Amino acid sequence: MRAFLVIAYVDPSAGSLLLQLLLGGFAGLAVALKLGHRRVRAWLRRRFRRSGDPDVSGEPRR
Amino acid sequence: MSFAAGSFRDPAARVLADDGPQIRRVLSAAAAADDTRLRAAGLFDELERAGWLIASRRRDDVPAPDGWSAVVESPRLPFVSYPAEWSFGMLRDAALLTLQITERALERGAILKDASAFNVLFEGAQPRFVDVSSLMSRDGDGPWHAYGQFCDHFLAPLMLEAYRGVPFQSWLRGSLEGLDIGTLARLLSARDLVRPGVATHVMARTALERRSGTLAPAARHAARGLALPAAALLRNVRSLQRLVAGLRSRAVSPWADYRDAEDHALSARKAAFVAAAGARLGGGQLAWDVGANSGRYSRLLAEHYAYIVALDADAGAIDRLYAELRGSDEARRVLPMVVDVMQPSPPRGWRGRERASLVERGRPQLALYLALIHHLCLGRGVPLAEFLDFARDTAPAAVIEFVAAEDPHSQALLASRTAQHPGYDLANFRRLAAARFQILDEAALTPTRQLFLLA
Repeated sequence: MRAFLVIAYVDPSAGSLLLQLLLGGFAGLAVALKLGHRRVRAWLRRRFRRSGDPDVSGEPRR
Repeated sequence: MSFAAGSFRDPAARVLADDGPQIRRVLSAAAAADDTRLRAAGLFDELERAGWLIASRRRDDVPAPDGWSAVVESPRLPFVSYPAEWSFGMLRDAALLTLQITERALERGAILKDASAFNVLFEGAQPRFVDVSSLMSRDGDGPWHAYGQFCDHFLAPLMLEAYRGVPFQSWLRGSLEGLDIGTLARLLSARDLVRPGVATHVMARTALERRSGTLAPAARHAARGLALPAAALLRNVRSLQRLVAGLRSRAVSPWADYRDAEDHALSARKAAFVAAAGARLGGGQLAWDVGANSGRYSRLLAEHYAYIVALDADAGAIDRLYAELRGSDEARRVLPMVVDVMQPSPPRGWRGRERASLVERGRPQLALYLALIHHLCLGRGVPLAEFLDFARDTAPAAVIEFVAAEDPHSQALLASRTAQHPGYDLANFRRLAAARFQILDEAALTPTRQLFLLA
């Protein structure tokens, strides 16, 4: 425990603490989903190109 | 040594009772060590430079009273106002200020230990965070303990007005603890579930409170040890900022557009009278404009008086004035307040001394009562003699616009009432005024409106 520790005197309800975890978690989840979404799109694009359609992305083919 | 009556909640810091130009806080040993650390890290300087936090300095040359370790000094603002006396825009800006400071503090490893709306005061139309001892180093990686208080003091009242169109002022007058989120949940309808923040900050939170209320004390205590990384906490605070910034009042204001209907020639003559009165009285430190509405005359007084409090019962009119004052020349010298003089703020809180009544917060040297008397005397039954008693008790000088019962505005007020207003006429006004003041000046505005300068 640090020497300068000051106790927060406001009594936080358990619900207010839990909700913050939930919100923090949800935001994390949203970021994860967004990333996941990007990955899925990239994968689809690769599949799409393999099917012989012209490449409009400008990215090198793998 | 005695303490200011409103500063007992934080055991680590208290405000000394003192009427001087500086507010002095005393800090416990732990709070003093933390204050030293945060000042050295530059957090206070940074927040002061942004204009968010009131300037403060350690007075290590002043011996701390017994049991305390340090004294911190900050300037006293000219007039104190409380959240129940703010308009929607004022409460929203105070909420945003609290969140901005929380965000910046988190980025620097600190946090606000409380999020009371009473931590913010207005210097004119400029919100200032004044509770400098609320900043503390963040210990560990727990959630924000003051989040629930933030919701009660800011988010819930703002949502009530934004989503239900119900003005929050009377709710905040009713409780110093704000509006409980569970109460707000009961006031919202199913339709409101889709509105920003309702499903999470109101409904999910209420459900969690209900559930956690049945937990054993040990389990509830364990919740305090829950970890939330700073990044997630910052994300939450920023998302709260976006939510609050997007809220708009849906309350109906009968007076906000009054000025648009004003007779310009008439108001120009009134303005000349007010300006001449200010000059003749030689100005002073504090003036009130009672029933200020657009604040036009409050701003005029700024030429002669150091600080002007613009009072109006209509929150919409005060909100419009607040928005106009922001960025104007008088921004830091005209304080808009939602106050109905028929029910001025009483003393409140612990032992009736925690928050001062309106009149205890400073007496003006001049008060304006323009186009107000007919509302009080004809509209709400105040006897003319008592109105003049009130004017005499409020300030040693007054500018009063007498509006006769025959005036079209008075007639509109009386349209749905039985006309009963014995003694309400110009001759009686003059007689009653002369018994309490000296009539220094008098001018007819219209055949039914007369201006008086009394001192």
